[in-house]
Amino acid sequence: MTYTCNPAANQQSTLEGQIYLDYQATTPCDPRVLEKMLPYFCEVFGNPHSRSHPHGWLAEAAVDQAREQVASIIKADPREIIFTSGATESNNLAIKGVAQFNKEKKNHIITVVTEHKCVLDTCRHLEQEGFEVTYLPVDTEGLINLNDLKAAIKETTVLVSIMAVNNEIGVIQPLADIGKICRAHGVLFHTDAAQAVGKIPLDVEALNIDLLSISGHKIYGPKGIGALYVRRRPRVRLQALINGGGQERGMRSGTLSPALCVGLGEACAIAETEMTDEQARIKKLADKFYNTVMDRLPEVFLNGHRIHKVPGNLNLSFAYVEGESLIMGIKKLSVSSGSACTSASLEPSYVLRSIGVGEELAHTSIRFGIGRFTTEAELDAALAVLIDSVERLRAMSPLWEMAQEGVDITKIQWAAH
Amino acid sequence: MNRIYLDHNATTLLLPAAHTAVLEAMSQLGNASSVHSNGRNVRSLLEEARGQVADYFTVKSSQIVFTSGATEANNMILKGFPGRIITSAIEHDSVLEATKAALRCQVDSEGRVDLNHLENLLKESDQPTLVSIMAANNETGVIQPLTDIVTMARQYGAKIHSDAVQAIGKLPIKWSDLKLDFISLSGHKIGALQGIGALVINEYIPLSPLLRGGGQERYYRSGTENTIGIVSLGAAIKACASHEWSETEHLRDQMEAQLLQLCPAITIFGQKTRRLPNTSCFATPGIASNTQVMHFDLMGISVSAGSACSSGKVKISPVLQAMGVKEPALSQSLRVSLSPFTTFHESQKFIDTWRQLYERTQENLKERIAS
Repeated sequence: MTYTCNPAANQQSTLEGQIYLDYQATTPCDPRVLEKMLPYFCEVFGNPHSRSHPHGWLAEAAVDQAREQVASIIKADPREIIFTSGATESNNLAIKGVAQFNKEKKNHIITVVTEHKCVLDTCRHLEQEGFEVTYLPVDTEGLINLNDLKAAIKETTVLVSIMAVNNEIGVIQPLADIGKICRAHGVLFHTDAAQAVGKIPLDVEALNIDLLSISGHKIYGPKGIGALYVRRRPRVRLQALINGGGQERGMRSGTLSPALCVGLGEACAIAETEMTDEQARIKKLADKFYNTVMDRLPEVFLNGHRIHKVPGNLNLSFAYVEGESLIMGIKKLSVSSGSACTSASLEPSYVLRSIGVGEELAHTSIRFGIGRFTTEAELDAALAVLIDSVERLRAMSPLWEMAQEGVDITKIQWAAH
Repeated sequence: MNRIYLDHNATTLLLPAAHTAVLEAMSQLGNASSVHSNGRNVRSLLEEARGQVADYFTVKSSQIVFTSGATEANNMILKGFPGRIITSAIEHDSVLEATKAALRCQVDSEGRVDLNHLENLLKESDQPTLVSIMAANNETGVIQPLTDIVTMARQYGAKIHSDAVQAIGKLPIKWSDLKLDFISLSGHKIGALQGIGALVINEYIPLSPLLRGGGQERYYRSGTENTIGIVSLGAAIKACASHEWSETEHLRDQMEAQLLQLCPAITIFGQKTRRLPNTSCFATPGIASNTQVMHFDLMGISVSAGSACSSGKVKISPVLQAMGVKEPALSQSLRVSLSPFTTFHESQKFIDTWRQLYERTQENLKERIAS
């Protein structure tokens, strides 16, 4: 069976002409990753935990090599890598695991209002169980204030969980500073790096990171696999979420999937080698896209920090356009107006609200995700569709007309009826 | 690798139908939770697979929760259940370890749950109770009397969960007739990929989820869905439903008869009761499990001494211990598990290899006695 991972080549006819710009929700599996995975579907099929025969050993050797590749991209030791079913599990394990293990001594956790849902949900659940959680605010560009962090740390603080790169607006938090503060106060530092791996350099030693979550399908690997880095020196201990055969040094039981582990490993290896060039290429594409939008369309706003962000994430709000109409107008573009897990609901993003984006603008925000397989031609086509839609919708909008005439929309007293 | 693989209870080959489904799904890009057409395409693949799993159990699609495997499914139900838990002494590690405080029902010498003991445990308290008994044991293949267990548990108002990992695809069970409340299953034991499993939920109770986040799987299990794992599970469960095991069972019985003929002192565990058609667990007098496993390995045959555990050491089987097996038989056990594709030739290679080891040991013994 011949196979290529180029999304355009494999698209079903229903997807013809569809331009994928949702690289934060998921990324296509790199063909080089798939190629490495293929033998582990059929030829090497052993249980990596079977120790009595080579079927098991071969599978185990593949898992071990993958573990080295994952460790390498964050400058960790392979023994510090725990394979999981994905970043959601990694985040759940890191936060609940540390909290539960230390609950007799300390019960306070610090996180940020713009974290991924799985971090926030886990924290809320821990609050119900009697833990105390501080949710740090962010400024209008999405960054935390380090003084807020310092002020929030107290005697009972056990863990600080702050994401490396935000999934909705791409903002990069000051990891080195956060790590330094946590280390100085003897508090563990966990970072959800699902959106950061392969996009920014990560060094768990230099950044003083104690726990770090990785996702496979956000870095051109397969879905259903992720990893958690758990520091060995000084040793971070946590209570397992899933008990059983005691795999993954007792921190995560369950038979590992060699195919998925190999996929994650190869995805990390490729990302590590190609990150610098790839990010430069993506930045060039993103800059052109952003500059063209800003040149051609007035009243467009970039959500999040202009500089401290990954280039492949452009979250833009289009004033005087109705959000749903815009999404319908650009339906040839696979984009998202929030994170995938919540995008089925049309409530405005909590991340945008946290950085002070008003409800109107939050409703018209679109996240353009640019990645490894995005071409300049795709972006040119996307720009044409986007600009045309926004101009057309604005031409029909009475609000736009009023704004052009100098009426301050926010001051209008709407009559109730 | 021209080896003979007789360790199918540890993990088995990917079925061709599952392989095809995986390769097709690999070409689909998208996060199933995204609203755009890429996302919807992936969603429809997942829902088709969910339907295939639901059909196997004759339940609605909404009753299937995909997990990262049976270990997670077992942990999810046993840790999420609000109330006390009664399980058996011969469960898989993922059940035993997830329920350290649970009551353990004894088993008889054939490895079947002791129904009198179960009834006593059920009587002890009237708080909400979940009974968790596996359908068939991974080491001995012994099948539990689930119908009786369900009837008894129902009498006391208890809910029932069964880790059915080893039974699915191997036994012609009509799952809907059993009326279990919860069922755990694993992909890689039935010819799907590793890293995928599911929990079937027939009874809606407030389960506290193990993994929280985006609210996938109807809030039972958050996390982006493992697309290729899920489609492989759907395809495999559909394909394995039609597997014919009678020849495999015949092959297994023939092997056991040959072993007994060569060495009448062999103990075959659970032989007097109903077992999975593919599993044989037996102790050979005078030869340690380790020695047997190594010998078979050198001769190109993959077998195991018990479940594929993480420690890598051959440990004493708690399953056999619970059945009252004593030393030295306890540390002389070997598990052979066949697939529907295991051939007569392979089974005879196994017998020859075993005979070689047995005869050599007997000779050594005689020499030692003589000197």
